[in-house]
Amino acid sequence: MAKMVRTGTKCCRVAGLGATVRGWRRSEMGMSDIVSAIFVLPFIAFLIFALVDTGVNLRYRTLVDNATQSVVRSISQDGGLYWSRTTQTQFITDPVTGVPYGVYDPTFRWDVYGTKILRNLCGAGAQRCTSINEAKMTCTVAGGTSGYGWGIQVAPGKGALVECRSVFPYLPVSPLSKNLVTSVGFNTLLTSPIQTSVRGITTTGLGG
Amino acid sequence: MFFRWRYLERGTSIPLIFILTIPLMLGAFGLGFDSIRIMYLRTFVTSRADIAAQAGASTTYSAGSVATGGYRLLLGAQGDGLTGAHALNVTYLLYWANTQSRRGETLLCTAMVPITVAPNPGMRTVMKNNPDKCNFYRQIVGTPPAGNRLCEKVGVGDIYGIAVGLNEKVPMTFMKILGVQDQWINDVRATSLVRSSNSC
Repeated sequence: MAKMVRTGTKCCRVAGLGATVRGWRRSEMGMSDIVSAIFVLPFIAFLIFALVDTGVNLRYRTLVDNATQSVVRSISQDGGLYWSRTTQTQFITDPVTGVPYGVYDPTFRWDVYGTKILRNLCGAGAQRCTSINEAKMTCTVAGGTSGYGWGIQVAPGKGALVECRSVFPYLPVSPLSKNLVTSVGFNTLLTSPIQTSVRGITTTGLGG
Repeated sequence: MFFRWRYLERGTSIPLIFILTIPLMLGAFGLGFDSIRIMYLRTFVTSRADIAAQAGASTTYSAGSVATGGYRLLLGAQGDGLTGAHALNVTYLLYWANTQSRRGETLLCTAMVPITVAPNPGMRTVMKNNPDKCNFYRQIVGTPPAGNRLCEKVGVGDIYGIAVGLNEKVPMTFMKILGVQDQWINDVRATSLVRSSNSC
């Protein structure tokens, strides 16, 4: 029992506070446990945060991919709205506004629409973006300008190449992931902007 | 003696447990990392196959006249007829272009040579019989309209389009240390039907 008072914390609780303090001072066992825990915890924290950040990062890559592909798909099908052989726009009007569907709008740009989607992904407080203005999508349609103006972004015919490029300045969840040391080099992967490009072929155009 | 053992074990318990569990923790981390990565790549490949199928399902309003068999909705470029060879090539090339940036890094293979002939007895069977092969199959599905279809809507029996199916091999990153072999993303499929109706 005398040994337990010197070396163990369990017996020290029985012996009282004074004995506890003396037990800690005399014994390095209790301290070594704490030091060990302090040494181990950052390692475990890194593994957990790295896994969480990787998952969230890939989730946002998927979201950016999907947004980009959605715009490419929209552009590649948009020509059908204006082609007399694939729609009957002249006979269909919006029941509320009375405006015909498929009317050419020279101010509409699909990449502006895509950029809005990306900026929405940043969140209300730009939680997931380093800078909301850097989230941007640009789209090009091969031959899309001929005769119809640049803004419309609709191909004159089917088979035209559409390409959209997106940049999303992703902001990691964990502060550990932003630092080279605490992320053990993972910061280059997790803090670099998400960039993706998607190509598509128009399935129809203004002229078929 | 009993207390002496406890004395010795107390100081070394946490470091010892930590060292013993390092492989377990790294293994769990690697498994989680690679699983997330494969899930992402499967989504990536599926979406690229989807847009490739849509590209192939584009149509051409053929030139000519009614008398010469023109004015028909065709798959692919003008002059392809109803074989849709061009449509099949477009499907493959677009998929390749959209996944090229990840070749060698996260995707190991896809058929390097475009397959212009639809597999027989069918894509599903071929994919099922070759789950561990890098495949990229695309074929025309449904019944393309025949004859002159000027100013006629495509009927129910005329629904047709492009279907693609593929297998991709994904290299492991962390799990490779533990001897886990490269994994397969098997049997990804996408179908896109022609949306145009030949109405005047």
